[in-house]
Amino acid sequence: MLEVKDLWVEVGGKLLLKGVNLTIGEGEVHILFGPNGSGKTTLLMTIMGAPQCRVVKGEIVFDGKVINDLPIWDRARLGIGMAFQSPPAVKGIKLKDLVEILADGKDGFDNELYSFLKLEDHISREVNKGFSGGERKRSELLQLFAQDPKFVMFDEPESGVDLESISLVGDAINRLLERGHCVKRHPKGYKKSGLIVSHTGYLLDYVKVDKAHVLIDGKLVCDKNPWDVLTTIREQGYKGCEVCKETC
Amino acid sequence: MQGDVLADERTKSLGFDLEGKDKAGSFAMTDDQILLSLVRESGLEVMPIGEALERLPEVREKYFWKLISPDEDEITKRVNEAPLRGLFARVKRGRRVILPLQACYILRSEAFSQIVHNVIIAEEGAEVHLVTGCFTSTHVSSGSHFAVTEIFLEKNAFLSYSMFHSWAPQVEVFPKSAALIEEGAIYVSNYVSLREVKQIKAFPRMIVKNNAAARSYSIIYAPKNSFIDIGSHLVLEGENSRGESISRTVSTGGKVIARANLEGKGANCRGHVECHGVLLENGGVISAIPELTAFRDDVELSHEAAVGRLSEEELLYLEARGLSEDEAKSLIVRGFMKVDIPGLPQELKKEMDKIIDMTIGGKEL
Repeated sequence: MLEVKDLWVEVGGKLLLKGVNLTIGEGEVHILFGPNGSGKTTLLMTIMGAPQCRVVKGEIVFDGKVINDLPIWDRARLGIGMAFQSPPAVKGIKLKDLVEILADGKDGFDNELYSFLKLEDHISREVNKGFSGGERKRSELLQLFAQDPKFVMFDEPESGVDLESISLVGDAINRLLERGHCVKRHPKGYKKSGLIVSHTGYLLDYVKVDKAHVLIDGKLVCDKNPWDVLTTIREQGYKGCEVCKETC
Repeated sequence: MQGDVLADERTKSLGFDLEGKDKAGSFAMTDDQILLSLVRESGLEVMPIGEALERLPEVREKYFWKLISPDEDEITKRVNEAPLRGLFARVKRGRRVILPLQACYILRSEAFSQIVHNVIIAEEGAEVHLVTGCFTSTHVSSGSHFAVTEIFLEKNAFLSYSMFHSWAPQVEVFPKSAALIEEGAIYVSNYVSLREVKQIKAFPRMIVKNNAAARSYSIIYAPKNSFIDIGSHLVLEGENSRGESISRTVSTGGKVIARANLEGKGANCRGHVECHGVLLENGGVISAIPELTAFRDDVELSHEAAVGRLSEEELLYLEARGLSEDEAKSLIVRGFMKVDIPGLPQELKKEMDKIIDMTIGGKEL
């Protein structure tokens, strides 16, 4: 589904990714840990195609196609989606109108999602305007349900969300990725792939993740069972990952 | 002749159907001819201003040239000297007319100078929604339109006045209006111009009495070669009077001046100005000129102004959802121009949004 090969990226003249290799197969969900400033968001934004992330070297291959030179919207149309860490408010556009534009021509979007994501009162408001941290995260998920991408990236979906609401975010991610028990499979038959950036690992309690990676100073240092990695980080901090890297 | 005008696409594109079965009344002028003047609701009077002056003595006594002086400037002088044409509309005490009353001013002959004088009255406790459309016939490219409009809102009345302009590139427009908003009344003025026009200059004056409110919205889209100088002058005379002047301007090469002048004179009066402008192409100019003057220590006046480019962050966000750069720009610009206007009937609001979608939606931004 997604293959990142020896990716070097600079932002504003500063080299932030230094040779990242990552492969996510169809239907797989990976989690990406890493300290602040290690380049996690840069990696996601580069895959998405944000113009400020300049690829110096390397390739991003999606569904067998090199997408390095594709603009952001073409990547979205190929099936890449992203939940932003701090999505902006979009003035003058109602959430419902945006959702309708995104869901247009696609089957599978169910109006019941508004209540599932507790956004019934927000649909006639401007996108993200005045939304709390948790509401913004749920608005991201709602838009992704409407957009219906094949590969979804989540940039710290649990940050700024109270503990009680994390389970809702987790349930929604499961449902979006077609990972739950009672999830209706996409009519085209595919199962979505995903990449979750996380600081805390709380989501591992809710979402079944296949693999974990740790990004330190622009390089991926790990490719292991998520719970083992989380345990290492919890017990030894990211330093533990550095040590582990040498033994990997 | 009527068929010729009715068939004009421009009139229809702004939602004006002169037969107007879903309108409370209709008034239309082509060049200096009164084409149509009819009423469908009781409690509402619609007639040419000349007829009103002949039939109703109070019009001259109380309203005609009472808010604006004939020698105020070149425009008023010109209107005063020209043959008398224009709309008189009055909604009777306590009558609430929710369906819009429409008035159309059409330039049908090349290089014609259309000159009008309108008087609009909402009596005590009455409600009326006046919608005017100003057009040129499709074959006309130049001309001018001069207008004096005097608007009276008696105690606790509600009057909304929405002006949609759809002129040709070489047309110059000089509307001059003033509104007197008596105690407890609410006046909403919407000024919408979305097509190329050589020049529009409009700076309506609103005098706001005790517990009354005036809200002015200017929605401007200025393509290349357009010059639009627009805004409002709110005189908050009354105790607890309220005023709001909001402009949303977009330039794709045209020059826009968005003005607002608030004078806080009455006890505890409050006023706010918002001038937001988006410049989509080099060559365009947008100036925001808010002016606030407080005459008492209990007055509260504020303003926010922002001019410049569209937010890169918002564009990128929408592009990441699969909207192309042009689609994202168009969506943001349309959203930017669709201001929430409290008190406007839903149908009218929908109509305004539709006009913005139709005019802006199909354009390459």
